[in-house]
Amino acid sequence: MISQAHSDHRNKVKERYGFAAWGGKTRGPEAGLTRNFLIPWKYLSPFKVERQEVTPVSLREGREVTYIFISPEAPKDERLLIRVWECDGVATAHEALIDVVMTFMATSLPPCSSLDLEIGDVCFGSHGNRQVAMIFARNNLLIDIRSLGLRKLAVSSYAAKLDQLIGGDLRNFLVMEPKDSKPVSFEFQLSSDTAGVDGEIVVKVAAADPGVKDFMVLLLGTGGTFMPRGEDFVFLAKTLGSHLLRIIAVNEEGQVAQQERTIQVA
Amino acid sequence: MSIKLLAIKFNHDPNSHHQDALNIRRNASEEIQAPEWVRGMSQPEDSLAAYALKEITGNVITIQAKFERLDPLINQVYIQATNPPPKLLPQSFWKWLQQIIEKYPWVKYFLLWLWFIGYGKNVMGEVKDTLVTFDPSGESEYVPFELQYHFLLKRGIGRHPMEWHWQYRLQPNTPWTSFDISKHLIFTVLQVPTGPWTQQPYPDLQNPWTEVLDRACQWAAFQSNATSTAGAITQYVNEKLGLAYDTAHGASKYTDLANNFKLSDFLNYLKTGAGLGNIVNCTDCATIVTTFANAVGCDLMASRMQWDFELTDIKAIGSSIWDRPFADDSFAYHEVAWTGTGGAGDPIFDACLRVDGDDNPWGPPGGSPHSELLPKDMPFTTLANPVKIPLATPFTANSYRERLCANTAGGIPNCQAAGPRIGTYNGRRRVI
Repeated sequence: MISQAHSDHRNKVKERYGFAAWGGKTRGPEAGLTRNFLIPWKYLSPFKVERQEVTPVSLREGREVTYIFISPEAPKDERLLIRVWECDGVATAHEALIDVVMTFMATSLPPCSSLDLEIGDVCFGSHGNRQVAMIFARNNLLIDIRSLGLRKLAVSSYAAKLDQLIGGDLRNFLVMEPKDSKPVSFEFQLSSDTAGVDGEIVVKVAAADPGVKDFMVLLLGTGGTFMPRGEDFVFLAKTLGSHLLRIIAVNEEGQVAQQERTIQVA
Repeated sequence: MSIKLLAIKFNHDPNSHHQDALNIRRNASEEIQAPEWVRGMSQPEDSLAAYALKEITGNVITIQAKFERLDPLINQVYIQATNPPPKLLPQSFWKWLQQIIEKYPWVKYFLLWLWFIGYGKNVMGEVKDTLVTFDPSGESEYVPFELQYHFLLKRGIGRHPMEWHWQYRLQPNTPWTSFDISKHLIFTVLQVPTGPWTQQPYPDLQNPWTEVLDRACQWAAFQSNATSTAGAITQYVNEKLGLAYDTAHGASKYTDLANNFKLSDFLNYLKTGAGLGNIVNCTDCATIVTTFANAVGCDLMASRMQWDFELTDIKAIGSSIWDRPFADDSFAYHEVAWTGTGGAGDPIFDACLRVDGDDNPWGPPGGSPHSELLPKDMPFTTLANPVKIPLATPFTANSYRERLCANTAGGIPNCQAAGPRIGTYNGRRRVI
């Protein structure tokens, strides 16, 4: 049970972090939702994955993935710890951000905007001159990235890259795509192509090849928001008109597949 | 050789630890079950056992051992195990020692102490001779043996490699014949380890890990009470592990949001320098001290003071300067290893920072002279609430909070004992 004092303190923390200005809001025209988040192995090259752990139920009942990336040249000195919490929506991700910063001893963190960094829907950097740790939320994901090794690395460029990944910018994948690996093959079905305002369209995504490895799914779309429902997703229509839903699948090897469907909100 | 030693059980009764060893495990993945020594083990580290000194006090300690006879004509033998034969030191050593004693007479007392604690002898002493009977297959059952002349209680906390020289004889009063040597590593702790460590169920992840005992018993070697033990461990964590404070966020690396202590990662850091790195916060330090100290018989908990209090100058772990780590000169909260119920008057141990121990801990940032004080067995506060601010100088009280916080309305009064974080098993985070 959460005490009144804890609740009061949480409200104070929210105020201090300017929650009212960013809580529940996303940047950009598209709503996005990611499930089964993974960082393709070569995505932060030359850093390589030393460890990847999945906690199925973590913060606010979402899935947590922890990565340690190491530099092949200095595996002890240059290390990155990346923790990703997958929430059921934007609002939950932002509450989760408050949960996490409340475990920090610093009373507040500098917003990335004050550091001339534009990362995520909301982002906070480090105290001190070097950005050795950052926390940001983009869509339904909360990401904490920090330098772990003896050499303190600035993590802002890696944070920006991960943000790009969540944002659906796949140019980097296409460049690094291994020629001999098997592409992701998936199926994407909508319960309907039309919905009224505040109506729902159920989105089912499944691997077409049952032998395929785990893959990450990014759902992007305008005119509404996504939320998970069991094994499926729901698109909640909000704005009248014709809208594009994009489903992108990415596997650990960085193979990408994309499908699109136009829907009508009437 | 007519007799073979097959196996030894130190923890022969997992439901008790008054006459035998504790229920332990090596680490997260490896259990330890009796027999702890089996034929073929050659290094002390292969055969591990731990004893709780408080619980064994006044009791006869027993082990159980199993043998095989190679000569079918032997049905019964007397068996014992002794200390290894003393090493002969050269004449020159004794002359040198005599000169040292003449120059530094106190060395005599040190030598006397070494003799008292049985330095150079097996901490578990000798295995008393016992009649062993073989069954028709040529093997014995597990036979109970009493220990004699042990130094377990005299040594305090420790890590003790030892070896037994096993001997047999067919009749009383005939000469002993040596037949085997067994090597062991014995840990001694003040009392049965307290939370997160448990004895039951067994085997279980929360049974004491020997990889923790191995370190804690060295960090607090020879300590014989809980306060000095917690102090020794606090000092070791603060000074010797290469840890440094997270001045970026003040974030924990070795605890997770489910309130577990990522002990395997921390041990990996201690072994290789990798793990989750050397940058830590107060929750990490409090959890490390609590977990390692409780493994050797202290009863600490990681507990909090909160919220949002302004600091005076401190010297954070791994730092060489007096400073306030964050731009607003404040901590949102702080966590330390705490005794008792985590109340305002209960003493704390803080490996995360040093406070100013002089009679004015509240000079301007970086301005006043400082006298380093690592908080060990220091009352959280000696002042009753409400505190009238500002406090007068000279301030001479041995009072932690007042030496941590600014002497302002946003400092000392905002820093209140709050007890352990919810979900931490009363400040004893479970280890993973």
